[in-house]
Amino acid sequence: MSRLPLLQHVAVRRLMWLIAVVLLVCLAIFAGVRIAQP
Amino acid sequence: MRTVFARLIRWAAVYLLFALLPLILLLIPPRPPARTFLIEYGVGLGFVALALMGLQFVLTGRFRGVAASLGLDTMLQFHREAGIVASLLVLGHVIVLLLHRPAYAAFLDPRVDAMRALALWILLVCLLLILVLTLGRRRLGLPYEWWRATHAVLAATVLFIGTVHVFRVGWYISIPWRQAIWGGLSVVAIALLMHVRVGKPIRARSRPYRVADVRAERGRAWTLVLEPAGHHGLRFEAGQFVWLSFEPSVLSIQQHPFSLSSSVAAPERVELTIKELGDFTSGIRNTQPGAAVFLEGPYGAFTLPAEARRAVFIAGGVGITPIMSILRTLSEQNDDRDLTLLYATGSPDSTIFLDDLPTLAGTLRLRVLHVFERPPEGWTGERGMITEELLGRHLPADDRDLHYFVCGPAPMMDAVELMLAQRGVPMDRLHSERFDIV
Repeated sequence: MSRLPLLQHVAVRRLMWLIAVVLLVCLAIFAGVRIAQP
Repeated sequence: MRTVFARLIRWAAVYLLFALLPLILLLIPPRPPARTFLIEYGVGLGFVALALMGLQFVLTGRFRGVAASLGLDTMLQFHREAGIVASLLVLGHVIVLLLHRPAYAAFLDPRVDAMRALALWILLVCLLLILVLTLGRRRLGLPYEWWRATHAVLAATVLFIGTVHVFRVGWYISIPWRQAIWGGLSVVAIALLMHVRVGKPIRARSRPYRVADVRAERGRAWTLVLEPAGHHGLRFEAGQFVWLSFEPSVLSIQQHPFSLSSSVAAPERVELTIKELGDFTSGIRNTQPGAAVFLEGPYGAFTLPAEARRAVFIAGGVGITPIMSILRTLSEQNDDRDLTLLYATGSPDSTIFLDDLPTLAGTLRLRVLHVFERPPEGWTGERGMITEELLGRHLPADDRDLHYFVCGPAPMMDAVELMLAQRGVPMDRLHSERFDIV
């Protein structure tokens, strides 16, 4: 990992892709919850 | 939670919550029967993609609070990345469902339902066009105003067809309150688009300006001097920008962002300095005094914080304009901060405000360092590009309280921001403004 201070436009890009990963995980949880429901 | 990073994280958390809203709503009973994991996952991808597309209209809503907190350019960069993510989610939605259950191909088959298939193909083509035209606008030679007009139409089409698709499939939203929520959110998104593309232009037209003067600057740049017509003028912070339009019609596609270059002390006489770089900017020289002009704004977070006692401005070419506004404002306020300007240009002839800077250096504690790519004969100062060595020669070794302001062409900003980051300058003290996001 880089130890450089983060630039704002780089941080913004990384943040959106981090959000995308979180969304995919949440989608898996959603699908799991749905099929577990009666 | 005052740092830029903390503000970004807090903002992202709110965004994530809204992006997940559809999934939360879908889990509230009564629910339709569950299908397989992959079908639920694939359907969820579609819902989240639609939520992200709706949120795109919020990101481009030009809300002053957001613009002042993070900067409109940051919002637009986020919007750009979110658009790519949303498009990939739509692709994932199609692929996961088709791979898991090939019978779903009927949705895209015109022999099964011509209207439905046509609408969904239009949605996919519009999405592809948005990506291609946005990421490749310059390579394709598409003028900014035409890109901006098509972007709105394509985005609204995608959102409309996506919402109709959700209603037509109806699996998850057969209940009236769910229909009301989805319909309502779509209406809000379109209302936001109208707010930016119609509402704000109407407001700008109600506060017109007259061109008082068109002043030639060095480097094929022109300063438009504007006076308010029937109102008190523009209240702005030094370093901010406005959207400029000459067209009286609120539906005009001509609207371009430019930095204010004048002092905040004169809201009744604002100046925009514009370099000839394209079709629109090349026409500025022909503007006649007395012409009506419309401004929307101000926007931007490229402003000098009160606590910044020492500042270094690094400008490239026309990137000097917001910095000029800051310097002129500080000069009028008899400010005694320690300031340095590193100004990279082609040659003295192409250096905008070359003749104004010595005056400011005389009234402020300002050190001006020119860096000429093509210096005149006998020039003993800095030459070439802004490099790490050059920064090392001119920046103080102890820069713990220094605020840096960088504005210029994208390649220069990428290079300089990286150099400053390598010098250990944190995000909170590195201010930048990017105009060429598209």
